[in-house]
Amino acid sequence: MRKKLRNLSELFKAWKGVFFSWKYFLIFIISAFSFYFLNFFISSFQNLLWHFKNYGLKSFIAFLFNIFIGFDKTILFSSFLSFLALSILSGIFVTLIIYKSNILENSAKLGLSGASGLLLGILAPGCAACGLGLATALGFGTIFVNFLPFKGLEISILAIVILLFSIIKISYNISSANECDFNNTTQKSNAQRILKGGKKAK
Amino acid sequence: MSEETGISIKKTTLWKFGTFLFLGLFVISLFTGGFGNILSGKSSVNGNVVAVPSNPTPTGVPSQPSQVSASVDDDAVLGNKDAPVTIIEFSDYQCPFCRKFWTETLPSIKTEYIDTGKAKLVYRDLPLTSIHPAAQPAAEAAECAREKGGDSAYFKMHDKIFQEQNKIDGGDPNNGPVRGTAQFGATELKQWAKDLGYDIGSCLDSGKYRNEIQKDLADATAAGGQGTPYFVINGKPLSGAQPFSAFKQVIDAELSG
Repeated sequence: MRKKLRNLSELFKAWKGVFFSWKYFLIFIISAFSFYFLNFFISSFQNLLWHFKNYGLKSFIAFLFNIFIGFDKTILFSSFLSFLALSILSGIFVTLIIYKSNILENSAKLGLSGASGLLLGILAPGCAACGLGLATALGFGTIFVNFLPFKGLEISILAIVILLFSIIKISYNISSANECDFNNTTQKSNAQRILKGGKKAK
Repeated sequence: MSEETGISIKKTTLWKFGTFLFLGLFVISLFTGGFGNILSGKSSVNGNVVAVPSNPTPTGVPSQPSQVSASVDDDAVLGNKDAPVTIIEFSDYQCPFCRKFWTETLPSIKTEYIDTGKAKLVYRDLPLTSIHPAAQPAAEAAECAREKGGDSAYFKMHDKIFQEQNKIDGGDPNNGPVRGTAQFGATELKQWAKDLGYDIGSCLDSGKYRNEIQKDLADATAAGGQGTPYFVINGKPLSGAQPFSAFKQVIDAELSG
């Protein structure tokens, strides 16, 4: 029990180190928003194209804004919730990967679980039947509709679970990278500088 | 803690690989129906719709232009028949997104445009029978009600079908929320019609409107409909249960143009 609590406190310590830095918080916001916007754009691409052709650029911008703001109303609530969760989790995951790669020099270790979680999330973040995700963009959204009992929602749930697992795992790695670096002084000083918002040493 | 099994790659390689992967996927998507299938001119499934599972017209699939031709046919009309804006809705009675449109967006369109005589709504059928088995009998039931009492009876039955599904879905009849696909059948449809004072039993059993519904489906496909709900507003297509603000923008543009 005590060990579990200690692990939990390590996890929060790692997140505090990352997300209390404005630079990494900004990366999180941008990544999460990019994930959300990419899926919105895939889902609304045809309508946007039609509107642009029919009414021109000025009206297109207003239309883009209107359907972006009202996007939650166009999909089912369960799909919207999983889509929102995946956007936030993807943002956290990407930020942690970037943070970790900055600490561990010029190398980004994209865990297999994290990569598969991110890929599944991109593939079907809400449900394929809703026109969300790469599955739809690649034109095989209807396959999910016909063959999966929850119309692709199960893929997004799986992606959420895998991403959560990867985030926890990478957080522990970051936590241990910050603490157990007695034989790697460059790495230690890099981590400390990054936490203070400075640049890492070569 | 044990080290995770992972792929160690340089950041530059990661970016190159990522860019190559997404470019590759984009090119593949152009040939598999993605992004509106720009190269072939065919449409894909797009936002917020339940897609047509298999194209009913395998040969001579129409292109997806920004202006399409869709007739009112002899279908039920809601509102002033001479209204300057015609909204043709191709819909599936069992599709949750169509019900979402009916629950959340149509009331505002009705208040602002249909009741004021600026627009009329023509309801046409696009039943996706392979995923929604009750869509076809529901469409026929609404036609049977129309036989008994004209367009107003049609829209009473139309409203009733959506209201009852909202109840099955565990929500308020008029306000939802819409959570998913509701299951019902011919028995329920007959009862709902009876609640409105229409006996549609023999009409529904005869299947006399089956061809009428199939004609709507063929017209929807010819007009570029690939999923439901699909709208054609004065010849301009709009796909999915979009928010009221999107409809407002298109209708206002048509009224001012």
